Amino acid sequence: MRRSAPRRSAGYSLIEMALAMALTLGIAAAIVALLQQQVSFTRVLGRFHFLREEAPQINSLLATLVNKADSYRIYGSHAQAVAATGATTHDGRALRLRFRNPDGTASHAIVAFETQDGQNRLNFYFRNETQTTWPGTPSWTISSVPTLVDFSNDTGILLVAMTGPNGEQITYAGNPQ
Amino acid sequence: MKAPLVRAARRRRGYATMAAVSSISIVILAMLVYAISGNIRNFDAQARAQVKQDYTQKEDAILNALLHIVPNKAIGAMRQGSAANANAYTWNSIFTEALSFANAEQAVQPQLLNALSLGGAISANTGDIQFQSVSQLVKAPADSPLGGDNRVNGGNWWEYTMLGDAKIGPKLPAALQLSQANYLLDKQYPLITFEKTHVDWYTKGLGLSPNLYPLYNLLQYPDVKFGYKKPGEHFVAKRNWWVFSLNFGSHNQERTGIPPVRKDYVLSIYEIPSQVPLSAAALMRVGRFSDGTAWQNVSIEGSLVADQLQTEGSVVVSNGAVSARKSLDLTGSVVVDGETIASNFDDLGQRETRAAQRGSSANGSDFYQASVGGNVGKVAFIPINRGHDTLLNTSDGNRSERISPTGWNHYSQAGPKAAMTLEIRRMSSSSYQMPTQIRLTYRNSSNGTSTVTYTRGTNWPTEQQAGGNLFPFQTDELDNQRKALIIHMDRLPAFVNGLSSSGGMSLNHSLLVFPRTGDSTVRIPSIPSLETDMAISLRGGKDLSAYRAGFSLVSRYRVYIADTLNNVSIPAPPNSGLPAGHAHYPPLSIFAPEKRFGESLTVMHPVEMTGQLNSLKTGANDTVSPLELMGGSDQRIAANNIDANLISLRSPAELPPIHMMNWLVTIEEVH
Repeated sequence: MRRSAPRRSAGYSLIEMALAMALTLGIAAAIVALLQQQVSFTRVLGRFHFLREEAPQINSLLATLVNKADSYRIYGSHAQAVAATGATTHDGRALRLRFRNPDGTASHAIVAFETQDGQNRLNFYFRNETQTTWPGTPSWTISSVPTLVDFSNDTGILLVAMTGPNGEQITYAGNPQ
Repeated sequence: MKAPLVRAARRRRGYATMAAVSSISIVILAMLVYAISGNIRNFDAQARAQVKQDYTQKEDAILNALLHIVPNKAIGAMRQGSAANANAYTWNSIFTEALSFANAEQAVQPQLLNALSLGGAISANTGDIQFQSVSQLVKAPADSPLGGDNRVNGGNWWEYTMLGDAKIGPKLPAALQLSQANYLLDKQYPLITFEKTHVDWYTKGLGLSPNLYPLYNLLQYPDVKFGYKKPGEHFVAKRNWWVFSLNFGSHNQERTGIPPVRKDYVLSIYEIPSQVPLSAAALMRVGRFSDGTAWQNVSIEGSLVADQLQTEGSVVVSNGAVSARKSLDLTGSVVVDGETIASNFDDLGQRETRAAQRGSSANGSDFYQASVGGNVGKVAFIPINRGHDTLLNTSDGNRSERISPTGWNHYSQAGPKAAMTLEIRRMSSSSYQMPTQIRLTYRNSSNGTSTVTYTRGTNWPTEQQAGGNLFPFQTDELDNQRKALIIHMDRLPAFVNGLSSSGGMSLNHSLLVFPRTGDSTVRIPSIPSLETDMAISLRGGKDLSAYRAGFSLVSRYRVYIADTLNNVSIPAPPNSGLPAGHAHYPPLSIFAPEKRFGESLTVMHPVEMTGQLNSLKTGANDTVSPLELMGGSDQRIAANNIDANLISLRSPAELPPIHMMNWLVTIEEVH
């Protein structure tokens, strides 16, 4: 019986190893770069979340509200809007809207940017035609994402400038009926 | 025996690498999917927001179109011949036209797309729609008691389902009453008629009893920016209204994914008898006479309203506003309620700054004492002024020829409203226009008409003949040699009461004097009048206390106001809304192309007047100078000889039997 001599297992030469490791490192670097790019892209998208998703929704809502109103006034604060004193044309933090009915009665609403429980909120208060006092708590919160909402009208057009959590800003314009 | 072949097991290599690459790929893929799905979500949110904005703007455009279409259709339905083409005046047609005018079906007009070479492009705007029927957009908000597929619910007592609706009923104004036949018309057409009246079932917002003042009552002026009156102020009017619902997107909800929102609107046509101190449907200049002399001794309490309004010099207005449909040109000083009106009052930003500065006293109202019709939102102000045709008595044909019970001529002309008519049937000759035969038609006790013809030498005594000094109609030659029909106002009540089966002065409260056509001796008077044309002179009119229902004179002839007219006050009617101690005079109106104050050529009497001045001028090149009053010598009365107290009506009791009319059209949402 002939036994074949054990084969010597083939090794890699230094050049082969160097080439393989270089390729591995290159692929790894490319993967890390791709991942970093993807993470950055996702982070950038996240930063634009306010402009891309929140702001259009707020605008759609405000545009509908303002369009239904027959008149509006801008005030420096929610408290001023409630008292209907100190109307201004710029640096407004509250917008008081009037919805007049055909019989002459009117309901009112206030859209106020204010800080509640340490959090910025764009709140909506509603007082119907039969009520004489404003509700103490908001009827609902439009959004708690903006860090600042500024109402102004220096040019005959109502401007609503909203600042997002990353300092991004967008301004919408509109007018009532 | 062969030794078994033993192969060394080969090591599998590279699977770890594959797993690592796959995992990382999956992570990256997941992040990409997340980003893409976020993008799609954002696009969807923005698209929905945009479609909603489109709907809002389309609704706005439809409402603005309705403001102008509805009054024209209402007028059309009053015209002779409208019954033969009734489909053109239905609410269906109105809303269809409004949709078309507003281009409410498409975001971009096809013509514009073609101009941009995008005619064949596929629109991604899911809000673009093709209505199969206007009913897909417009619906009556409540069921109608007598059924039918209606677009609107009319503001009348037959619509009790709508009036009792919990959502909209409490926010609606007072309903009117009308017959069932008219109600059925009102369901189909915008009906304006004298047969719609106030009723004591519905008194919301009315200032006076509907039983006493069923046609025109005291209403509160709506809070609109056009200042015919001030918001909340009482004014004499009747409000016709209709409710409709717009449901944008209801029939293509599956396509857009946007739930439709029903919005209820009230469209109103206020019928407003002319009641402000000065108004004109042309260019009106106030403050100075045409020669540049400033007005003197003129007080204005109430609004100045014109197509175009120019002020010169100093104009002071109290309890009113200055308003124009097209333009307001303020020069000199204009002070309204103590506030100086700047010429740039309507500039962008001015209104908002002003509104903010006015604070809470304005109660949210954007009203200002100066306004221009184009900048006042969803409001249309329409003076019903037929010019000199107002003085005619034109037939509306048979009732069956039109939709509305009230004909347009009857509504818009002064002539057809006159209770009595005096036809000049014969003159001395065509060159000597002195009446020799007249025919009086008057209201008898059953409110029908009776006619008497008076002829000189037969039954029409001259002043010197027996009974002549009691006859209210005489003839005379004035100082300027004009031939005139003299109307003795002091004799007319007794004369009318003495006529056979007379309806008395309560029914015979107005007189139309007109020339007979077809008689060779009677000439139709020119406008402006010729010296050879007949004129009318009012004499003996100082005390009109017997005219409890007031009096109106309508004529194409020049009218001389020979002496003092209507300066004896009478007690104000009870429950008329007039304050205690108010000096009330029988309401009087004179419709004539020319008026002269006094008959004398030499003596220029001072003119003191209280009331309102309107003009029949309607031409684009016409200019109205309301205080350009002329004396008997055809000379302008000097400024220092005029003392004018121009005031507003305060009650329908002050409304003369014949008056001019305006419409105010508004659209308001029911919130």
